[in-house]
Amino acid sequence: MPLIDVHDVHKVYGHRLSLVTAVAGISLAVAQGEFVGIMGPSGAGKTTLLNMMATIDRPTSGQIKIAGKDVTYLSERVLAKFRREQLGFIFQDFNLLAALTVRENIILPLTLAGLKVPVIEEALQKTVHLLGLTAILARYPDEISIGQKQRVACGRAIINQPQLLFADEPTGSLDSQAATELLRYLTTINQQLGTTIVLVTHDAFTASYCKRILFIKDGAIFSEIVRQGSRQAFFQQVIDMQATIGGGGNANGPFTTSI
Amino acid sequence: MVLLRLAFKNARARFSHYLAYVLACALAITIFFSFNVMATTAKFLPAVAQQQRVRFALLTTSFFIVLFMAAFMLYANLFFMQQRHQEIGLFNLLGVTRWRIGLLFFLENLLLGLVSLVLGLLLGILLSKLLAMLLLRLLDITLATTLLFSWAAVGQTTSIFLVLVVILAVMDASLVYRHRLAELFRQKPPATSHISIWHYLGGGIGLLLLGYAYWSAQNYSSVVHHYLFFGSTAFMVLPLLILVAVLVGTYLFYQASLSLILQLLRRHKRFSYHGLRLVTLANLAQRLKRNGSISWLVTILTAITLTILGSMTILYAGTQSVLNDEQPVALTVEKQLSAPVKKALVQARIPIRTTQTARLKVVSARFKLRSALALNYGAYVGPISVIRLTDYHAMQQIQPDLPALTLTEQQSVLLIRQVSNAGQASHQGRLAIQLNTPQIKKLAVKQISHVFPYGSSNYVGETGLVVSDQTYQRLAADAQTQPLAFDFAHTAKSERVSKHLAKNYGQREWQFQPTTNKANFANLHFQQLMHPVTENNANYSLPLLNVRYPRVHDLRTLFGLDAYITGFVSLIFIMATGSIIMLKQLAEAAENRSQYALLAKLGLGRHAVRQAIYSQTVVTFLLPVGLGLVNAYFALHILNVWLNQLDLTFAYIIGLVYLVVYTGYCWLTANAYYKLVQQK
Repeated sequence: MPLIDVHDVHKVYGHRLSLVTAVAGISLAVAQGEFVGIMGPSGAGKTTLLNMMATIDRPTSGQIKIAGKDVTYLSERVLAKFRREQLGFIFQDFNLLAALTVRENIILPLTLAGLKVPVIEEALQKTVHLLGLTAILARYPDEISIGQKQRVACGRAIINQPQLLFADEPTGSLDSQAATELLRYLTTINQQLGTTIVLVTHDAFTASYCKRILFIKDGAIFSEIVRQGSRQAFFQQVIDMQATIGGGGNANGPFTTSI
Repeated sequence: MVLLRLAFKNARARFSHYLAYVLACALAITIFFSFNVMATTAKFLPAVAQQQRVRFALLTTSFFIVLFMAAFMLYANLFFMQQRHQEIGLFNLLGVTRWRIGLLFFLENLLLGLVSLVLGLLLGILLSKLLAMLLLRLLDITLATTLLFSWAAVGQTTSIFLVLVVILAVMDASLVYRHRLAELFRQKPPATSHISIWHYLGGGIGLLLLGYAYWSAQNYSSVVHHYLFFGSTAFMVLPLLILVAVLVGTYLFYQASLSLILQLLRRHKRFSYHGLRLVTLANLAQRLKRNGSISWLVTILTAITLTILGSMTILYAGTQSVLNDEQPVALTVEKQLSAPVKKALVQARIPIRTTQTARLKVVSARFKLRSALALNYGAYVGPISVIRLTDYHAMQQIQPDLPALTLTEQQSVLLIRQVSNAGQASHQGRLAIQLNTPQIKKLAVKQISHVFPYGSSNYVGETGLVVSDQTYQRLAADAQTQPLAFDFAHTAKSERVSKHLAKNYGQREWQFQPTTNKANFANLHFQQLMHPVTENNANYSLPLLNVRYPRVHDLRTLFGLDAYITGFVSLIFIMATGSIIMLKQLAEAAENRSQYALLAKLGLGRHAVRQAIYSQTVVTFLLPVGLGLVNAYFALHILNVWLNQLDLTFAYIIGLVYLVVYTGYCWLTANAYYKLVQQK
């Protein structure tokens, strides 16, 4: 049984007179422990699809099952609890709370879940150790580098040991060095903790760290490629596929970086 | 014209934002107009007895309303400008000249001002009759009022507020004009900071100062003894010290103690690692830091207005109690004048419920009270009136509040007015009174009472002594008086007749003159003279006729006017400060929207968000008012020690009203905040 099962999902935005179809009938499945990328040009519906899988947004029609449970029509309250316990998020603009220290930002999901102090402390130590954040725990987000910010966001996403980690353009604001670092950490999390990761990007370099990539165009799945050989070869495959789709997503992002 | 349209559009779009501001302005205009129209309408004022006083009070108050409004509008405008600095920058970037942006803001301001003015004037015209009726009611005057209106008042109101609005609009426009583009786009500095040694130091000192001030105020009458090295001014120096400690302490409290406390709470993991508490604590730290100065100002202003209102009620209660001490009975008259007075009462058909009479013996006496404050009542040497126990108890029929007494021949009860007793130690220990009579030289004072049978204005030296009938019998008096009390109900007619009688006979008085130098108590006696006397050394006098009801009326009028005016002034104060805090909170709501969106993604339910918002708003809103109330409480406490344990109920009620109104504001703000945050 796949961890995520998306069946014929549609999403339509707007009013009666100006309807915009963001997702037009997508079906896909993500297995436990996978590292899946979703790629496509701007406006293809990547983020909409991710948000629906992450239960932040609801589909207009269709069905989404996570771990065999239909999450499409659950109540807001149940979904909130589900997100709190099962999911982790990383965003392009980090979304750290400026008023909280690094430590407080990371443990936030656990305090929301109502865990005991020793449990929280232990989880914090593990996470911080994995991501190399020990030295900056007492600082505020304004006082650390961009790369560190994204690692903090990553720490917050994984501290509750979610089954599923969603990342929306996680490297979008990072320089090449910080991006590489973050992607290595994500790989580690995927391999060591067995966390399933779904990542949206339009940067080929970032995507090349995934095991499998779904290409979306105009709200529908265009094609799919699976990594078999080295990452470098996979990167070339991604570039070729992007050229086929057109409407280039290569304009920004650390494309020019040597690999 | 494009500019005018844009200004109009902007003002309309932001109207919901400005609603609180416009309403506060409109309310001030309404009250200003109503006061003005009452002061200037020819039909209205001549009907009021103390018209000069009332007119003066109304005009002075409206002047202060203008001053206060100017300050409020200035602050609110600066705040709005700060809110919109990015918008200004954007216009500038789009190539609109600064002069035109300035003009745009000028027009917008003018529009808002005009809306407030029109709203305020309309309300004023509608409500002025109501306000006038309220004033008349408080002044105890019956008068049919029609709709009050005068073009002069409209003109004056319009011109004054237009001038205010134009000045502010010009100021805003010039501010825009002088701003640099880069400055406008600059982000606010982050409000997060680490706790430094200064927080510990300042925060600690702040708390200590507040603690010292509150403790000293609460135990004022015992603490004042430790300050006697200031000499007799100690009783004034200590409150000044307390005032300074409160001002500085409150400031440090907002600037350092609060950050410190919140930080310590955050570090206390078992407390803070719980649901949204971390976020709430961090947000609170940020908010309180940003609002530090305004919170301090609101705290101090709340304390000042409440203290003024409270002391006013204390004074009223004090005057009331003075009247009750001096003249608890409708009318008292000396026996020899009683015939014409009784005739007048009967002729006017005033039903007399009871009459009562007694003989009071005047003797010279000496005693000394123990003083609690540096304010020393000192030793009393002079004449006192002595009443016998039977006459005392007989008077209970008219004055039911006279406490029942039992006395042996060696005992007495000293009657002292409450006001002159102010600052005396509550426990007097063994006290004795010396009398200069051949048979009785000394009597023990069993207790001190403040309730005079017949009222203290019938006692020479406003001091009395109750003794047993046997002792009274043996007492050789220097002189005698014989008051006769008439008890009748308070009606318009009885008040008028009382006033008339007081006018006819009120000038006549007994005068008592020492026969010898006071230094030699053994020879001191008093000689009774009838007014007028030529000698100037007749220190003690006693009017032959005293009436109560006209004085009750005067007191009510006096208090009514004061209550009316302070009531409206504090209403404006509450509205203005409430609006300012509300605006600040709502501005932050817009900033914090992304924070709550994130928390929702992390799996936070709506209910928890609502709760977090409410608790934060409650603290930021009610903390200044609460602290202001506490400060006012201690200030009133000291005043009350001076003025001798008077009734503070009224002051407490006013404090409660403040709290209720602010809670209402708080609720509105929290609701609006929640809606803003939930907006997609």
